[in-house]
Amino acid sequence: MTYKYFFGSDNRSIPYLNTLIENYDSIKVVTTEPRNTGRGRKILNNPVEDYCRSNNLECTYFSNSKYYDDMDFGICVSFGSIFSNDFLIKHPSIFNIHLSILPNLVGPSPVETTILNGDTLFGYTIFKIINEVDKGPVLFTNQIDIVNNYSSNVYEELSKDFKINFESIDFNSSLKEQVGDVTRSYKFTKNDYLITKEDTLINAKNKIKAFDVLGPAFIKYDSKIIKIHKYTEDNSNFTYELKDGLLYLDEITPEGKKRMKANDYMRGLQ
Amino acid sequence: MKISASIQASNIYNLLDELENYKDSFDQLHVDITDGNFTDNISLPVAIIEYIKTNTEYVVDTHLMLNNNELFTSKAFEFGSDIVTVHCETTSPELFSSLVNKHNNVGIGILPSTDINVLSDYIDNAHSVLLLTVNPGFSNQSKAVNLLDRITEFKNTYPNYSNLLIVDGGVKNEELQTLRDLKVDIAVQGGAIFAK
Repeated sequence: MTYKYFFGSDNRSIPYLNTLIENYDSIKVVTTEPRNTGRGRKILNNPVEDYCRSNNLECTYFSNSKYYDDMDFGICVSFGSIFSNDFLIKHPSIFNIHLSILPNLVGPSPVETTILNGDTLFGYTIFKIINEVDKGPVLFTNQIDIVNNYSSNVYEELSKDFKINFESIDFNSSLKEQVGDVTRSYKFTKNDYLITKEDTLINAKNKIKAFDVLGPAFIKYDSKIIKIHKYTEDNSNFTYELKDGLLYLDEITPEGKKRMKANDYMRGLQ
Repeated sequence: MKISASIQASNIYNLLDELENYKDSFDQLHVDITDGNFTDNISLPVAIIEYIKTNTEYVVDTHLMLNNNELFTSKAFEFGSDIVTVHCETTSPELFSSLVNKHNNVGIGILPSTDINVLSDYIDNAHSVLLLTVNPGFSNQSKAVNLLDRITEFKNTYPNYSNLLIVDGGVKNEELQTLRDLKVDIAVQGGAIFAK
């Protein structure tokens, strides 16, 4: 008997795993081992392992030295390990789901980069993983316009679209080489999340939307860090002055406090 | 193949700006930790890993070139390192087994002057193998062994090895395609990135 393998290790991969579970009976899940994460570097299971446990799914840890001889094909989404060349030679049918239309926005942050560019056109590419990052031949692409382009919503909408289209995707069909100019997306540093008075209003809004999963974006206000989850157009709200206008903050996490409405925070200061 | 940028070759006092300036040249970060004992200089404090992991999203592979591998492997993982490489010249096979049992993603490194057969006592447990092609401790050096010869020697000696292969030391941009062709998984570059 052969199995469809799923490789994933963070929250963003779970909706895709869910779609596979709904469509196949024979699935095996591979994830990464627990590691030190977060403040205090506590050892935590990754979300995929937790999801598998709560849904009674078998889940094993990845190693490049393993040979999964019962693999029909594999699907990889947000997986925190590197496949070695030898592993890919032994397992030639592993597909990655990349959240842009390749070769546009190769790299680790296509969704966030699209939002920072002010675009609402998103998409995803299912391609075969080869030795070079995000360069493999393509099985399937789909592009969608997502007007509410907070990254959390974009991730959700893209996974929903994958679910809708899943039945029409044939993982044994022929592949096409990527066509067009390569553009890149990059890893971010914490400095990228910072909104300063030198930012324009549009840049600041794009940062808030882009980083609501990875970040969030933040400002420094009275020497304290205030994380910003949402902005609003309601001018009765807590404001932050930028180069070309006022940013109205909606939901924030002030330093040392819980997430709250910005106006509640302001009332507390008065 | 991924490119890992050795931050020892960067302007470390301005690290985040350096990473931003050269971000199109690498995929992850390589941190050399030396103790002035196994090597002839002292490089970065191990706490730099925590700084990187707190301020960036990069995968960090840490290369320990020192004598007290037990202590510093634990510290490197506590600070958030994703991969830690220790050297076969300073780590007994027994200690290596114990490190592998205690932590995920522990790799073994080998100096250019060490017989490749020494790895046979480690390779079955190793998450990765790092072939160092320069003498340890300083960045921007010329190679002590021929890159192609060393990789070929490794591949011929361990044809069934399937975990990650890392090549570190004086890797030039014009050599990257050769490394890809040789199925290297991670190439470490320092001067080729930050000394542009």
